[in-house]
Amino acid sequence: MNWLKQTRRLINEPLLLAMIVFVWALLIVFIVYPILMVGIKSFEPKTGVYSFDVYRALFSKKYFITPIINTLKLGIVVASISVLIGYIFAYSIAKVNVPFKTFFRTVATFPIISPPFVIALAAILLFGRNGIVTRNFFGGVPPFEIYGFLGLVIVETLAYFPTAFMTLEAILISISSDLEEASLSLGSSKWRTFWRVTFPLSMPGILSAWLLVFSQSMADFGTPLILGGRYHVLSVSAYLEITGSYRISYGSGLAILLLIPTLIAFFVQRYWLSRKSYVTVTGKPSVIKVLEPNVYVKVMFTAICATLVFAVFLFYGTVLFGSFTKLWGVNHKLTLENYKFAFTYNWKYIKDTLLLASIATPLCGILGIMIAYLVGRKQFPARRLMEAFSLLTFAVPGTVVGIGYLLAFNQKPLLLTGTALIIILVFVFRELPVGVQNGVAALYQIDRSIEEASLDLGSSSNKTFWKITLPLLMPAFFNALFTAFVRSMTAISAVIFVVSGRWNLITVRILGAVGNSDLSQAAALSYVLIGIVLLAMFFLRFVTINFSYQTKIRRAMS
Amino acid sequence: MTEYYVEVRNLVKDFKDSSSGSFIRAVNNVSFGVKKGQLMTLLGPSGCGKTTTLRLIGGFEIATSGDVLIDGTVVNDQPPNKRPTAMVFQSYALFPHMNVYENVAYGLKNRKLSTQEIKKRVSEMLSIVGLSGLEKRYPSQLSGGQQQRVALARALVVQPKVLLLDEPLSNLDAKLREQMRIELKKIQSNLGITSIYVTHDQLEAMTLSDVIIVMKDGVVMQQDSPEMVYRYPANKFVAGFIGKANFLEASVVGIEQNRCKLKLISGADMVVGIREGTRFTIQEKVYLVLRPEAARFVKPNQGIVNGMVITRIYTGANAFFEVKTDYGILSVEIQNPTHMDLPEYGETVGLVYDTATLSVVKYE
Ligand SMILES: Nc1ncnc2c1ncn2[C@@H]1O[C@H](COP(=O)(O)OP(=O)(O)O)[C@@H](O)[C@H]1O
Ligand SMILES: [Mg+2]
Repeated sequence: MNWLKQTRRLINEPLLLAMIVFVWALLIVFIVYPILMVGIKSFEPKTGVYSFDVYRALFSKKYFITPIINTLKLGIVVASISVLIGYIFAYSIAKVNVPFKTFFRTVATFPIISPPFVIALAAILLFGRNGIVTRNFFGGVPPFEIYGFLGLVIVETLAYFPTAFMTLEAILISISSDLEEASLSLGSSKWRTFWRVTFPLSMPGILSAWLLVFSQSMADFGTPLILGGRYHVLSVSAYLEITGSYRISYGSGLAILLLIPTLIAFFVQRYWLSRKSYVTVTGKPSVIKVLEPNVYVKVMFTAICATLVFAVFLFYGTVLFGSFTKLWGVNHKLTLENYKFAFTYNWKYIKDTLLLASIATPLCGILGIMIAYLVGRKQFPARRLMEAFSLLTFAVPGTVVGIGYLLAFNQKPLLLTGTALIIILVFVFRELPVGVQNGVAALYQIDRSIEEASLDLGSSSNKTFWKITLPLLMPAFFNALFTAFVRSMTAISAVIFVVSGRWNLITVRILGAVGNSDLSQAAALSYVLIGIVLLAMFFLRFVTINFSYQTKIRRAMS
Repeated sequence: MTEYYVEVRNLVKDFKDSSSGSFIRAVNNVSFGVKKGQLMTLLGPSGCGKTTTLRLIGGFEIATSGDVLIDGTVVNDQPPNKRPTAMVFQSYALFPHMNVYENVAYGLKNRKLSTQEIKKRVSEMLSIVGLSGLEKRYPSQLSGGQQQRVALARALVVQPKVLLLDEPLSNLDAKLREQMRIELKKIQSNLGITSIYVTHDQLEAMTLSDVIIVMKDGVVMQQDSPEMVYRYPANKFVAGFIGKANFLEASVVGIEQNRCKLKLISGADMVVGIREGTRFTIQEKVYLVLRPEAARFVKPNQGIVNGMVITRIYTGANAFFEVKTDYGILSVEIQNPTHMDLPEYGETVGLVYDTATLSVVKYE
C-alpha cells in the first residue's frame, strides 16, 4: 500500500522519476551486471557449457588451494597486527598525552593517500638483494626473504595500520573520559579501568577495524604482485589465470572466492557491528579530556609511536632517495635523470592518468551526491536497495570489478574494451561509494527542518535544493571529489584489466618498471604520483577555503 | 462559513513504523478551531502527536484523512511553500550559511518584493525582536536566545496568516525561557497574529494561551480556556496534567443543575460544583479532584479525610506535606505558612478543601 502510494506520487514528479530510473540503469549496467558476469563465467568452463567444474578444480588442486589458504592467512595476520599497532597508536593519541600528536597523526595517514605499492617498492630498495640495508649491514645477503609471506606482512601492515588507527581513534575519542574517571573514582586502578571500561567499550571498533584491514589485505593486488614471490594469493592468481593463461573461467572462480569473504566482512562490519556500537552521537561537542599517565607509560607510548613514524619516514624517504639515484644498489650518485625520463618517455602515462581521473572525478562526485540526495531525502520504492548497490563496490575487491568489466564490455552493444571510456567508468563506479557515503553523512547532519523552513518560507523544493541543501553539501562534495581523485590516481587492481596500449596509466607503468627492475624509474614515477596527490590536496584546501560557507562565516567573525 | 480562522476537521495521520512495519496512529480524529488573532496551544506529554498535528497544518505531512482549513479555504493539497503559514522550528532551523539579514530576508525574496522594501521590512522586524545591529552575524555566532529571535523574525516577516511554533522555548535555559515567554506573548498580541503553539510545559501553555488543547495519544482530551481547563478538567488525565492533583474515589448521591452531591470513600458527604452540561448519574463512581494548593489542615475527624503526615518540607514561602490516608497519599501545599500552626511529622490530621477549587471527573 505504501509502495503503491510512493509510486503514485512519483508519477506526479517526472523529474524525480527520471532521476531514479537513470540511477538504477547506471547501477545495474555498471555495477550489478559486471559482477554478475564474473559469477556466471565461473560456472562456464567452456563457452556455452555450464557446470561446477571450475569450483571442483579450485577445491581439489593444490595449485588453487594454496592461494586460497595463503590469502586468508595473510589477511588474518595483517589484520591482527595492524589492529594491535593501530590500537596502541590510537590510544596514544586519543587517551595518552603523547607529544607531537599532530605530527604523528599526519605521518600515520601518509600511506592512506599514497599509492599502495610505494611501501612495497621501499621494502625492495631497503631489504632486497641490492637493498641499502642488505648491502650496508648484512654484507649483501638479505636479512630475510622480502619476497614472500614475511615481506607481505611487513609491507601490508605498514600500509593498512592507518586504516585501523583512524577507525579506532574515532571510537576511543567517543568513549567519554567521564566513564574512565568514574571508574577511577570508584577505586579501580588505571590498568583495571582500561581492561574493564575502555577496552570493552572499544570492542566493536576493534572488530570493525580488523574486518576493514582484513578486506583490504585480501583485496590487495599491487603488493603481492611486487613482493609475493612464490607466495601466491587470490588476486594475483586470478590476474595471472586471465592475462597469462587465458583461463578466464578459472580466473573468475578465484575472483568469486576472493569476493565471498570480503562481502561477508563488509556486511558484518556495516550492518551488524555498526549497530552494536555503544557510542551514541549526541551532537553535543564534549570536551575531550586526556588522562595524565605516569612518566614511564608516557615514554613507552611515545617510543612506540616514534618507531612507527620512523618506519613510515624511512620507507617513504628511501623511495624519494631512490628516485634521485642513478642505479639503485650500484650507483647512488644523485641525478634528476629519472624525473626527466618520467616527464618525457613516460609523459603519456602521466598525462593520460591525469586526464582520465580528472574526467572521472567530477562525474563520480555528481552521481554520488545525486544518489545520496535521493537516498537521504526522497521516498521511493527500493530506496535502501539503491543505497546498498551504490555502496557495493566498497566491498568488492578491485580484481573482481576489473574482471567483470573485462567480461561485460567486450562485445556489442557495449564494446568498450581498449577505450578511454572503460577506464573512466571503472574510476567512476569504483569510487562511487565515496561520494554516496560523504553525501549521506553530510545530509544526515543537515537538520531536515532547515529544508522545511525554506519550503515554509515559500521556496519550491527545487529552489530549496539549490539555495539551501547544495551549499550545505559543498564541503562534503569537495571532500568526495578529492578522495575519488586520489583513489583513482593510485588505483591498480581493477584498472589493470582494462588498460590498453592506447590508454594506459602510471600505476600500471610503475608495476612494469618494478618488474623490469627499473627501480629508480618506479621510484620517480611514484613521487610524481605523490606530487600530484599533494597538489590535489592543496587545491582542495584552496577550494574549500575560498568557497565554503564556513570560511565565509569565519571571515565575518574577524 | 465558520467562526474560526484556522480549523482542522477529523484529522488522522498514520505513520509506518520502520522496524515492525505496522502503522502508528499519531493523530487520531482531531478537530479544533482557532479564532483570528488568538493564540492556541497544543499541550500534552511527549509523543502525543502535537508536532505531527502542527506539521499537518504547515503542510509538512500529508494527512491520512481529514481537512485543514485556513481562512475558510481547504489547504489540504497545498505544499508548505504555498500555504499562508510560517513555522518556528524547535531546532530553529536557521540557515547556517546565511547571516541574520539573509535569513530573515529569505522568505521575502520569494515574494518578489523590491530590495528596498525587503530592507525596510527586515530592519523593522529585527527591531521588533530586538536584534538590530546583528544583521551581519551568522547563526553560529549567536546565543540561543538570539537564534530564537531570528527564527521568530524570519517567520513573522513574511506576514503569515498563521504562525506555527513547535516548542520554541524548549532549547533555552530556564531564566531565558521565562523572559522569552513574556516577550513572545507581547509580540504576538501586538501583531495580532493567529498562532498555534506546541508545548509539553503546562505552565507555558497556561501563561501564553487564549485556548488550550490537551492531547493524549493522538486524541484531543479537552479544548478550553486556561481557567476552564484548570477549574473543570475533562477527565482524570487532564486534571493530573494541568497543575497538581490527587484523586479520591466517591459516588454520586444527588444531582442538582450545577452541583452534585458526593459520598466520599472516606465516608464524608460533600457538595461540589460541576460544569454546566456535564452528565453524571446517581450511584455513578467518580473521582473527586483535589488540588494540593487548596488544602487546609484541621483537627482529625473535622475534615473530609484523615491521615498521618509522612513528609514535611518547609521552604519559607511554601510548605509541602504528604499525608498518608487509607485511600492513598495526598499532597498538601500551604502558601505563606509563616503565621500558621503547621502539623508535625507523624501527626494525625484532618484535611479540608476550598470547595470552589474541587471538581469531579469520571472514574476510569
Ligand atoms: N516520521 C515519523 N515516522 C514514524 N513515526 C512518527 C514520525 N513522526 C512522528 N512519529 C510518531 O508519532 C507519534 C507522535 O509524534 P509527535 O507528533 O512528534 O509527538 P509530540 O510532538 O507530541 O512529542 C510518536 O509516537 C512518534 O514516534
Ligand atoms: Mg514534538
